[in-house]
Amino acid sequence: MATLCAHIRSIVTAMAILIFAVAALPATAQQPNAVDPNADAVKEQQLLQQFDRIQGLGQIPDTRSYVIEQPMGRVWRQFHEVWLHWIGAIAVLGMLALLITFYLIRGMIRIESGRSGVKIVRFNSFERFVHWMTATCFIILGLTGLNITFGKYALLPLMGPSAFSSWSLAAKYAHNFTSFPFTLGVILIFLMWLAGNIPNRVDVEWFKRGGGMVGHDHPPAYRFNGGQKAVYWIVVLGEPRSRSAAIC
Amino acid sequence: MARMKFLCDADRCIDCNACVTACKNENEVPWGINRRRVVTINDGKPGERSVSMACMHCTDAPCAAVCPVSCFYTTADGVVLHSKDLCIGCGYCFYACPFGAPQYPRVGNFGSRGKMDKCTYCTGGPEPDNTPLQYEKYGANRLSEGKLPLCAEMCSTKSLLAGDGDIIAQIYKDRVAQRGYGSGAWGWQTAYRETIET
Repeated sequence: MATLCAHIRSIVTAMAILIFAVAALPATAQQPNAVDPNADAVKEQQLLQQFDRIQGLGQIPDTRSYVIEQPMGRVWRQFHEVWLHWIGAIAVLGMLALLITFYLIRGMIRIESGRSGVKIVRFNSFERFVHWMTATCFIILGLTGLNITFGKYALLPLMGPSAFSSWSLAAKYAHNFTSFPFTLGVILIFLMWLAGNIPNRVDVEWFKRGGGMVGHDHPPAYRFNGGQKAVYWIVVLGEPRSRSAAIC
Repeated sequence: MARMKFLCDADRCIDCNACVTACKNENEVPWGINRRRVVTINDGKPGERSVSMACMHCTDAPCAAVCPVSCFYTTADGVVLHSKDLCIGCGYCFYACPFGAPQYPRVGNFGSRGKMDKCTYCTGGPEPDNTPLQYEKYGANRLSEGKLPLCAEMCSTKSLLAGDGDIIAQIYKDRVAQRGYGSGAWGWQTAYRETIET
């Protein structure tokens, strides 16, 4: 047994020496040229694949400048110059087409038996003020927003670069400033009219009967009908999106 | 016409910031604005590299594409310039720029950033060449005098190269061939959709 162990040990030792010699051989041969100053050097493409932006350490207080390359700006450009144009154009022109079609088919909806001559206060002066403050801001925001996205195609050729720039500068400030009263208005609308806008069974009935817009029915409703409630929730839930636009 | 480009040989950059200082001085850049800056990647680790970065004067420049008032234009030399008279300071070019080149004189509420400022490749702006008006708004116009941007001209290690794209690419190729390594032409793939085969 002891001889067997000694035999195995000598074989293992011999193999170990052989492996070491083979491994050491090229290392000694390469010694003079082994220092590669580029061995650990950062590579641009490698960094971009890993982090999709390249940043390091700079010496100036503006920390945003420490990012030297961010090809993701291309995605932002693609969204703004391609997708946003399609989304905006389809939304605006599509809605316009729907409204015109509806008007042509249905025409103006008049009060069937005329005005009764009795006026009832449905909204107090504060509610009316908040509503029109929000509506005014909405129209200003909408027009100036469209100008930022489509102005250079629609207005720039008509107005010329100088006049278009002056108008766009004013529009930018109008857009940035009116976003605040608009947000305040939507928050107040949310709080003022929340109680009247909880969906219930009456609204299902209202929608089933076409809300009086389709046909000549008069489905019952509480303070707000089903259609008004739908608009309320679209406005209130749509507001966070405009917030995100204001932050950008 | 030449196609002007910048090339920063990161294996030569010693992070001395002379290009930054030269740019500020030559163009009388306002306080707080850096048209060029040097950033060190993997600072203090083996293989760290410093890169001097400014506007790369991209082919099909993203800033020009997203500008809502179309205030950008490209010169015959391939330099991307803009008009401060038309700029409305919306900040879109900063979002779209892959190199963080656009700078604004103010950080104010309600988007009052002021007119955008960026590297002009020492080529001034839309005003008549070498007039005080042009200098005040855009800085020096060295290209019209047959000189290259000062940042590259005075780089002590000749790490930062400016000039015709083909010529500086050849210089870089020769360097890489001679010394046997090169960490690449930083930003070229993003800016010009091409890289230097070494």
